[in-house]
Amino acid sequence: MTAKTHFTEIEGRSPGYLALLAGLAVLIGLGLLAAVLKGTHGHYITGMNNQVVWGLPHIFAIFLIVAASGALNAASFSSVFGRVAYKPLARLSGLLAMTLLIGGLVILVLDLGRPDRLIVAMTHYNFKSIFAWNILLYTGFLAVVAVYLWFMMERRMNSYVPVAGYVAFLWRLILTTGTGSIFGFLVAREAYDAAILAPMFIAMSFSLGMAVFILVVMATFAGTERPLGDLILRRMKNLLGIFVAGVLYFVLAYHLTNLYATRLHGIEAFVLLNGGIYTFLFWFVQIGLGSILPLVLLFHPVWSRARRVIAAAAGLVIAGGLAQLYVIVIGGQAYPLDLFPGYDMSSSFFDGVVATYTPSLPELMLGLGGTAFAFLLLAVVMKFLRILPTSLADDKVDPQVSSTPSTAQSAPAGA
Amino acid sequence: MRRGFAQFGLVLPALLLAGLALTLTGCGKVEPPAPHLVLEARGDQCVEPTDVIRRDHMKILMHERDEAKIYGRRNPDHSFVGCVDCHVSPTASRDDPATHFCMACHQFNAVRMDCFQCHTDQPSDAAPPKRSAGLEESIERHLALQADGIETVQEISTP
Amino acid sequence: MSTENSANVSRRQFITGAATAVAGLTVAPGVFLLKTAGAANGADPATRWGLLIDTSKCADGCTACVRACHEENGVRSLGRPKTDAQWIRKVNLTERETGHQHSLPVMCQHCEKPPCVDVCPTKASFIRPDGIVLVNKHTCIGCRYCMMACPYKARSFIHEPLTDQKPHSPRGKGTVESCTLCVHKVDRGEGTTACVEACNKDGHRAMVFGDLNDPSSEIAQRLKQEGSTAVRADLRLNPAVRYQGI
Repeated sequence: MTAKTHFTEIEGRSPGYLALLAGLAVLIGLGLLAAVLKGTHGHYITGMNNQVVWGLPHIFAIFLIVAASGALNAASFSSVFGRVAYKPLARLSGLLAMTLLIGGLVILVLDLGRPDRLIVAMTHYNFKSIFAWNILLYTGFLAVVAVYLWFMMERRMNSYVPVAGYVAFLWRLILTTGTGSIFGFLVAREAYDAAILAPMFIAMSFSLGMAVFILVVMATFAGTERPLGDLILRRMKNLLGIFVAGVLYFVLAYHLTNLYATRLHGIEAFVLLNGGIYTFLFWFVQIGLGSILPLVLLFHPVWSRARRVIAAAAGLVIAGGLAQLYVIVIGGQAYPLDLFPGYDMSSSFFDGVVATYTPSLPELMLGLGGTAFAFLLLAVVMKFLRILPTSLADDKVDPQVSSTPSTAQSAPAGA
Repeated sequence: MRRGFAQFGLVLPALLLAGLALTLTGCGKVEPPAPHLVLEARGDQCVEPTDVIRRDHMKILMHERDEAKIYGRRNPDHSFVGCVDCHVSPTASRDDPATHFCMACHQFNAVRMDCFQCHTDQPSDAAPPKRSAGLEESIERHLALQADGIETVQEISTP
Repeated sequence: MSTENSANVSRRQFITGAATAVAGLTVAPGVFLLKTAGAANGADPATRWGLLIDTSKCADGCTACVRACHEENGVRSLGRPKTDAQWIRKVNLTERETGHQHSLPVMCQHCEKPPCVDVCPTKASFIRPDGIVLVNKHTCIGCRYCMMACPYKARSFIHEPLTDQKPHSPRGKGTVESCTLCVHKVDRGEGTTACVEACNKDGHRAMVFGDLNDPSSEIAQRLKQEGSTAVRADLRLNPAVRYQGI
């Protein structure tokens, strides 16, 4: 049995904490400013246009939503798969999942052409729309995880945690399936219209969520000067490596399938060979920096012991995930629709040419603002609720470690 | 920690009060719609009694908008364009609510409406292309149908 | 109570203009009757409006239909080609194998099974009983998912506040729009669209508007006798806009 874990609020008075809040508030302010600018001037002040209709805000939003589902990893491991080592982190995991999702949704809503009509999205429902399903999946996820968190934090409810954990785990799988299907269900565009996008998004949620979670754990424990042993970190970094490899597998299967179909050679050549920024982002950032390098860093027998290396690998995975979403979302729209197979097209409406898209400052401000909102919520809630364990030293994570006199450094690597 | 929470708890109502005060000061004095706006309106007889229109014009418009947009059942008596054509002066503008029959009253009563974000704020004959003969014809046809009694009855509940 | 009832009656009398026919009905207080236009005036589910475009008659460089459409519906360029709305556009085609060139107009194809309607979260994208695919701007929230889903790139998002709309063609910032098949003309019973009128006026006569479901209509007869193709027929969307000579 694990030693009893104590959870406490963070003190929340240090200059560092207040500076963090101030910094996040500034970013949120900039995001709101961007939303107001869009509201008064319209979307033409952004880089989005009639060819590339979804831009940088959607990349941030999808990233946060996918990562939210993955941030629940630690909680699922403890409640569903019985890995007690993750139990002290389950609360943080659930809370992070909720705040990331809220941050992503705020971006999505503020990027609507008519955000003032949000209520319409609740009152007029098209059940054939995967987008409408997602509205239910997102709000449902928030509710399910909130109950899950409550069960974890309320002693009388502790016995129901496994049930809530199962529901939350299933819900997150369905949620990410829904997010992937936003693209998977689009028959019109060659880059989408693939069932594999749903499981690929699930794999991405595992890896991106884990990467964000590792960084959040390291930052909060360092910031609150609570001990964080290598044992739990090592387990998480090994899992991150496996998840990154999983995403690579789906990317490989997706492109191999497409390469086999002659009609899709155009889009494949665009992404893999001659797509300019998209080819660069795919090979250099997504595959090189975001997948291969982190795998090397995470599984290198010597390097992977250093926390800085683990943090760097997690950061690279996040950068790779953003690049991957950029290639999927923007690249998929930039490649022209093939209305007349066998013909070259040209028109005043940019038919037959690769659409240009330049991300604009308001879009970046909105995306960062939503991200900052997610982390502000996290920081504020941690001040008032007992989310964070007082210690994750190795002997707290696995009592067997304390029975041996060896130091944390020589503890055997977990799972 | 509890003390911190209490401090925070006081901040919220204070912020709310401050926000309320700011909102109230933001509401400047709004002039009631000038009588000439109504006098300039060309219709001498509205499609419904004034008290009905005053109380229920939004319900009628909402109902007719869905009927017209989704099912193509257009009722010239209750069309949005019809309201604007009769009531709004050709020189009115959405940018100057005081000149606009609809917007002046909505501003006076502080009721937000976004009709004129999409619909033109001017009567049909203010724009260069005049009301086409086809429209007149279809109105005539519609009225003839009414006289023949080909009609469906719809209920709208009022609170 | 009696005054309330009499108020209702008088209101109803006014609205229906047929007081004697309905005077016997009792109306609960707070409920008033609204007569809608007769069914004959609504979009008839028995009809399916469509276009036939003979690309062999469509002149290279002629943009009469585009100009007429945008004039009719008040669609104006703001000098920003990437974000300016285009309801209809002339597409120039060059066959890769042979180098054969021709051009044709492309607009909303008014599919029988429109992907934009499937994906719209609020049912703002919808198909009228007579087959015209429209955006209900009262419920469009501007998410642009329909633009992602449309295989014909037929839709435009309004990227800026607009003024000077046409009375019959409301358009506003933050919503999506596309060809309405001149629904205002159809509902007036004019039986034509601005693009078809313009094409005929210029003497090209490349476009025909009509009821695909009416076997006696010109469009149905020509489709039956001469045949036609649908753009992206592989998607099985059954568009109401048909082409000849592609």
